[in-house]
Order: sequence, then structure tokens, then C-alpha cells
Amino acid sequence: MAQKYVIIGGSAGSFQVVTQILSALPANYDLPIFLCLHRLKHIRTGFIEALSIKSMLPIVEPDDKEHIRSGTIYLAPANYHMYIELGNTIALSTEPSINHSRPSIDLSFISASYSYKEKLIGIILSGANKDGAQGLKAVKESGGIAVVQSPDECQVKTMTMAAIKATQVDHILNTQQIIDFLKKLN
Amino acid sequence: MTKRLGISDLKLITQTLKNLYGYDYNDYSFTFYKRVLENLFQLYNIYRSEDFVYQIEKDSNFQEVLHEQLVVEETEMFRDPTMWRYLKTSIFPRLQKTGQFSIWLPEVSTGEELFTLAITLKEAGLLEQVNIFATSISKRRIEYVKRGSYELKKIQNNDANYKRYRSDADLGIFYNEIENKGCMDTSLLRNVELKHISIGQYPSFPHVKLILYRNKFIYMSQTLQAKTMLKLNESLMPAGIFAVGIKESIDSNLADNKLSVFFKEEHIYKKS
Repeated sequence: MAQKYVIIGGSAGSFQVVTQILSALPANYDLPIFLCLHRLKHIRTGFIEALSIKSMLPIVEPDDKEHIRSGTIYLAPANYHMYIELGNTIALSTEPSINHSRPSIDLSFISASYSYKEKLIGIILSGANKDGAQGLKAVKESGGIAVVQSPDECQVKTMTMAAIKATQVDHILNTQQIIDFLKKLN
Repeated sequence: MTKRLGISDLKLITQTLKNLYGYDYNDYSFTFYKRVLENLFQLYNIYRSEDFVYQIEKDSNFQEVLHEQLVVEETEMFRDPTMWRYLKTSIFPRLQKTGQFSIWLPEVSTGEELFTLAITLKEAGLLEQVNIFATSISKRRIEYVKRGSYELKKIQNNDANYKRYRSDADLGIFYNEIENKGCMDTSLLRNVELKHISIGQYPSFPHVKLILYRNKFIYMSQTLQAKTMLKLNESLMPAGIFAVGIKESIDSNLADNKLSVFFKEEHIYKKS
């Protein structure tokens, strides 16, 4: 099977879901995963440590131009947009916030969809604004798979509902189903 | 809806720009460059690359518009407060010991970083003694910096950052609120030489012992990074300091850069 890539977007409120997902993935999970989560701009440290506690996979906040490796989780750094470039590298940017967000989920998803096309799986989790909707639409339009966390499960439904409204999503799944879906891709 | 540019669109536009201006913009990092052009399609309300090429060719001001976009807005004052504290307490005293020194801020954009630097120098009692050179490929950006006027929302963020940098003082002494804007005390820029430069051209400045080049390399391909590094480094005096953004690093393979890590946490390098 050709290499696939996973990109996940959510706001700070989806932290627990992300932790659940990451802790359920085995140490031999091969797909690179990009995480774009809204977070406090001025806090440089702590977030990655908190996420790493239960993950068996390495989580990094990439430097600019970092090469993308299998089985690694890339967390968009605070106060930077994170692009996924052609040639399998990360590019960072300090361009203005989009939807009051830097990192912007839309920008990460759009760049990844451009680079990976049908090899990309985009997942939108719980969140409090509409960021991610245009990004998931780009994933779908480029031939990738669009997944949204079931709004019924989300404390704040704005982000998931906006994504569902913006594009014809392939799957609406609860957390456990997202985990099963990701495991099957490995 | 934003136009999404394909490879053939980018090739056509890049070649047009190269023919007109003699510069290869392809050396900017891919997604960023593509996004800048997509934003300009939107700005001009254009949907087809052929129309965009026509716009470039007929609009004598197009290069300035492009350059304004390529010089990305600085996000805030005192971004990474710990870096500024380190400059003030460790780097400035070190440079001061070596006699007269100048600082160069290449690719100045909206000026937040320049004002941050000026404030930091003033607090260190060095503002009157140090020359600052601030250069940009965008004339509009330079005019913007001279005005020193920022949205109040930005100013609030700057206030908060300043408190993180030092909790015993208030940024408020450096600006006035006028008509819903925060107007910086422009006397802070008294010893600043703001200079427009042509793209790819790097002037030589005297006594440069510190270059602040934070979050600029992220917008370049590795080829352009190497070229730029070489040019900037020519102006930096021996034992001079070079600071980049906290997610950037200076590759030891970059052509003959003579720089080694000086303070890892804040991505500060020193010339040998």
C-alpha cells in the first residue's frame, strides 16, 4: 500500500480526544501524523510534554525545513503556521492569524492536501470556531479522505459542524471509531 | 473564493517576473510563495494566470505590491520575551565591551521588532550610542515603520508580552493612544537608518556586531538561505552575534558561514 498521511485539527478543547487517540496507537504505527491544535501563542513549552506522556510514538514540534519521517507525530508550534511542503518537509510561517488562529488548521490542511492529494486523511475534532472547514474541503477536493468527529460527542460543536457544512465528508466518527479507523490504515 | 495555483501557473508567473525584474522569486519557500501569489490574485480579483501576467506587465507598481507581501508582517513586540531579556542582560554588555557597535535588522516589515530593539537598548542605556540599520525591499513597509502606529488590539498583545519580558514596568510609557491607535514614541528611532534596498542586494554597513534575522529564513528555500547568509555574514564583524527565530537554525553546512551556536535556547549564534 502506498504511504498515507494523517492530519488532525482541533482547538485546545480537543486535547483529551487527541490524547486518547495518540495513546491508542501502537509503537509500530507507521503513518506520519500532523497535529494542528489551537493553543496559547506565548506558551512555548509544556504542551508537547503533556501530549507525550501517554503516546508510544515520538511527538515533535518541528523546526522549519524538518524532514518528515514515518511513525512520527508533528505538532504545529505555538505562534507559527505549519505547512507541509512538496518533498516531504515542514515549513513554518509567522503570517497573520487566520480565523484568529496561528497555527491555522485551514493553512496546514490546504498545504498537506496540495502535497499529498489522495494519500491524505484529514480529521477535524471538537473546536470553538470555523477554522478547519476550508482545509477539510481542500483535502476532499484533492482526493483525500475527510473525517469529522461526531458533533454529538463534542463539547463545542462549531468546528465540526462547520466542516460538515463545508464539504461532503466521508466519515463522521466518535473517538473510538476514529482510533479503529486510524489503526486500520497502518 | 481563493484561486488555487498549480505548478504550471507558478512557472508561468515566476518566469514573467524573472523576465521583467531579473530576479528568480522561485527561491522563496514553496507554500509561502504560492500563498503570496494566491493572495494577490484575490487582491486584484483575478482568476486566470494569463490575466495575472497581464496585470504584472501593465502595472508599474506591481513589484512593490509583491514585495510588501513577501516581507511578512511582524507578529508582535517582544515576541519570545526571554530572547529580548537575554539580549539586554547578556549580549548588549558583551558587545559594549568591544567598543562602538551597530545593529542590523534586515527585512524590517511592520516595525514591531525594531521598536522592541530600540526599547531594549534604551533600557540598557545604549540607545544614544548604538546605530541601528533597518532595511527592507518594500518602500511601503518602511513608510509604515516610520509612522509607528498600531491597532490597539496589537498594542494590548504587546503590553502582555512586555509584562512577560519584565514585570516591573509598563509598555505604556513608550506609546500614546490616539484615535484608537497606539502611536509609538518615534524618538526611539532617532538613531535608526531606515533604508530601502533592491531585492538580492545587500549593502555593507560599518561596525555591525549584531544582526537580528528572526523568522526570515523560514520563507526561503535552502538555496536562498545560503546566499542570504553569505551576504549578511559579510557585514558582521568577527565575534559578532547573529540571532534567528526559535524554530530556525543555521545549518553548519551553509556555505562558509563561520557561525557557531552561542546560546542554544534562543537560537543565537556567534561569528568566529
